[in-house]
Amino acid sequence: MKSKLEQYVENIVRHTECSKQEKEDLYEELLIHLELSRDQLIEDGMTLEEAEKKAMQLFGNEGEIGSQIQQSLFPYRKELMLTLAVSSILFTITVYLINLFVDGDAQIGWLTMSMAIGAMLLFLPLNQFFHLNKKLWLNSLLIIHALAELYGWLIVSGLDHPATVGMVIWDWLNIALTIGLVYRTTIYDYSPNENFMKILHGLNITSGIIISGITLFFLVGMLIMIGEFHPRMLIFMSPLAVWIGLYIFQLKIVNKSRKMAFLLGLVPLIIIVLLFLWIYYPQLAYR
Amino acid sequence: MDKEMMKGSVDLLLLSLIKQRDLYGYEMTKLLKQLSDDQYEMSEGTLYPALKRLERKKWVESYWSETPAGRRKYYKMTEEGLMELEKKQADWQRVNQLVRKSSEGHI
Repeated sequence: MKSKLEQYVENIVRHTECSKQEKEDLYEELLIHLELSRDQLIEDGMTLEEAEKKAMQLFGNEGEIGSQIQQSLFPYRKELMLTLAVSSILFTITVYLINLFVDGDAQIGWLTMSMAIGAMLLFLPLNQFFHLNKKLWLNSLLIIHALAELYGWLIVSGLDHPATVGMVIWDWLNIALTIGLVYRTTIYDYSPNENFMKILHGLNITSGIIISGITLFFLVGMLIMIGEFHPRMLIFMSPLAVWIGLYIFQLKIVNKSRKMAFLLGLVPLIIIVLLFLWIYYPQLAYR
Repeated sequence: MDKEMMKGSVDLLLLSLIKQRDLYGYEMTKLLKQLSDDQYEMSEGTLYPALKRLERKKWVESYWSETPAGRRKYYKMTEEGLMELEKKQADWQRVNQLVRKSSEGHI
């Protein structure tokens, strides 16, 4: 069974969003402090139980200290997440209402979906008990959120209302904050000696954003031209699938061969650059 | 001691201690208590957010070390930390002087 001190330290560490390794490190460091403090108090004449209680009391309130450590490690993370959540919920309601009043009809499916995502964004940073691979969950949620906001942009641009320009700007600010947070959760959260991983993730996120953008552009284009969804359109999603596959594969091999992982990380970006060159300067290829 | 005042000067205190020799967390609280004749009343835990902040700003570095009494996580000064400390000490001097002059009746 875990001792009282161990439980206490666990409660502190739970308030942080570190990687598993960093959590173990912090856990050990704090536990040593409490054990030393307890031993000193026993030496001063207290019983084990009294000493444990006093050591915890001297150390302070678990929630407060845990949150302070979190804030020191990831300044303003919580505030940024909350801002994003509130801003996107307000945006969703506003778009829905304007759409309803201008067109007399609105997209209830998008409203529900976007509100649910907003609520989850609000819930994730505030709760301390759900931390099963939180980084992955957070990023997936942020990406889905960006897609929902992109769809919101489509709705807004179809509206004939004086507020449209303001709404579009608001929407893109939300999207920018979302993308910024994806970069931050993935890249910033590594200790300085993991610089290589920062670069690798940075490469992949950048190509991921470009690829998703192009994919969505084609999908929406097809939808507008054909007017209805057809399963064959999913072919346009294949670059995205390849990108996901490559990304996962890089993370698998990165411990064995950094060079190989890095080269693979460059592949999508190189393809994108070549594609752009081919589209904008086709004469280069036929010279 | 005034807690708010302590909070404002915790970076300066910790950097001054770590400058003298590499220290681990528990040692620092103990030293602060001793040096202040037990007037230092901050919760011991508040030391760690401060240490993590100093580390993130690269003013101190940490490393694990095996001692006869067990494993300890030590903090040591960096070049940047040293420069920051000098700056903070100068600021502290200025505040100190101002407090003194204000109470000496120069008005």
